[in-house]
Amino acid sequence: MSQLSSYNEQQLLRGLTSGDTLYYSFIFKEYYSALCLYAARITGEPGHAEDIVQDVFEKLWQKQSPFENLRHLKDFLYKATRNAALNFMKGVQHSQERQARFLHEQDELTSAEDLEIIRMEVFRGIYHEIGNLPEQCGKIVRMSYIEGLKNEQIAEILNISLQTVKNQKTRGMKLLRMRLSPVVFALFSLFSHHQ
Amino acid sequence: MTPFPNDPFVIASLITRSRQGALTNDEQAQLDAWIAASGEHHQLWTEVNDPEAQQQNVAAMAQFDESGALERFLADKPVKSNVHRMRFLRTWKWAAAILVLALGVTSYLFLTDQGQQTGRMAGKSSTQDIPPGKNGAILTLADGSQLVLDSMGDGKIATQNGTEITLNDNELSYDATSATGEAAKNTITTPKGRQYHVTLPDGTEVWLNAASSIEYPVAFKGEERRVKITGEVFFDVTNRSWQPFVVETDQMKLEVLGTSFNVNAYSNEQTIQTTLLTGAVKVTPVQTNTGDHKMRHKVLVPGQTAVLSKPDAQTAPALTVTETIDPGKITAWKNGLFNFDGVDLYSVMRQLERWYNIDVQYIGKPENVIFKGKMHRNTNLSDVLKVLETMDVDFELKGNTLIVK
Repeated sequence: MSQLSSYNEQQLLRGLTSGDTLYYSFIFKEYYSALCLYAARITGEPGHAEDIVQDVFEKLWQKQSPFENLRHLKDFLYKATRNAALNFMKGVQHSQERQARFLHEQDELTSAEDLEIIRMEVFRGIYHEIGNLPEQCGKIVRMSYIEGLKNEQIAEILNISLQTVKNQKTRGMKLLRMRLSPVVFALFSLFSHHQ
Repeated sequence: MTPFPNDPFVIASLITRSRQGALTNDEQAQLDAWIAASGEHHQLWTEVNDPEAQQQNVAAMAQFDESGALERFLADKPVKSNVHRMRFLRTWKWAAAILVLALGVTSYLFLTDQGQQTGRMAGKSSTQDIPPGKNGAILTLADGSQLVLDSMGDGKIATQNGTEITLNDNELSYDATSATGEAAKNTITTPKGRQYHVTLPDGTEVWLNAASSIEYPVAFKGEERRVKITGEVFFDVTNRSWQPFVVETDQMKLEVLGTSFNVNAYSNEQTIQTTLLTGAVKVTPVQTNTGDHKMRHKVLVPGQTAVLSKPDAQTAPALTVTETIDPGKITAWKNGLFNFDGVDLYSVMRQLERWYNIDVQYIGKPENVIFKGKMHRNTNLSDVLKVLETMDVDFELKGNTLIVK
């Protein structure tokens, strides 16, 4: 498994220097939403997060030299997003206080910056795992988790009993815990179709 | 004390795998040591395992428009190597939706299902060109008077029973705060070659594709918010649990719960398609004179499309639900792109007719081909025809009529 995923990792990394949009689309789908949230948390302004992250992907597109490994790529994405977010704040006066606070927090054990990356990576994993759940159970988990609908509302919309909603939610949560790490899982399914 | 890694990506991976019970004893010890090393670490550990924090963060990630952003990102990217790409298309059917997003205006990349075709090069477009459609619409007020919204300056353009109608940067909005009496009905109509965006009195945002219309009250009162549409309309509905949003077409009714969705109800298409992006929608066909009571409503969840076939002499109407591989593709038009993916020649021609305000005539029975790819709508007809030339499509442009043989 580890040999396979590292081989696939190399394919992905090479793909990113080939200018083939397939690989960029894959990275985009894996990271876009998480990086937007990351940017929004730094700037405190979700409205500009999408522009910031769009620029980060343009930067990734223009990058000529290959990444050494997947970690290097992730590091690039988070750093570029963070820098762009901080640059954005420089241009916005009323955010200066917030920026000062953010910069100050960096001196601790695992830096605040790294803690934030850990936070985003863990939640990003859950976000994608939900996207990969089987049909009915995934629907219910998404409606409750993402749309914020109540069990009663879900039962009514899907025309099923309240108990079924509860059971499927429990099943969904169990499945989430059992899933492979999403990156490995997604890489595996992406490349296993290829000889 | 066990040493612990200090790389955030390694820690994140340890946390994720611990949730899945997939840690080795050694890894577990490393993670425990990291958690114990500082109050901040411990606090983060508690937070990422808290269901409420998980829910909030996942929901926060879901609000960003990932598929729209990907479309914008890919819109100006060239496609590298076609031969390579075609192999992918065959082996990875599921990935096709992502791939074809990349097809740009000038790249001759409309591929048929049989593979890339060199075409007969029969296109003879004359020197004149036809510009793409643009923003604009006609507003019909309750008294029947009409305003052409393309050419009007910004500012207050009308008052209907106390509701102020304002035009700003070619976008119409309603302020119903001082509305009185019965809500007057207004209609916005886009002719061929125009699209329009409007914010309804409740804040619901509506995008009208070319040759479409929406009728709505200038203030939403009573138990439900009810609008009527023709053509193709995208809705981003403001959530009001106490006042459901209802969309009517000739053939069906949609009941909406705080949602964004696309309705394609052109009268010259064979089916009415409703695609849900977020929230939930209940689709109920209007009972026609077939007396068929078996056609019951369907409830859509995000990513699904309800397809209502229109009745004709041989067949009764039918309502089916399909999974949409890439819902973003359905709403491509709203983001300034043509959706030609998996669409046949005749349907592509209907899209061109509406957007370029041209007529398409067929001589004989042209061989049907299935298109792939997307293309900017903000492009002259000649660029679209250049792409057609690369396919097995035999055509001639005479004035405003495109003749396909």
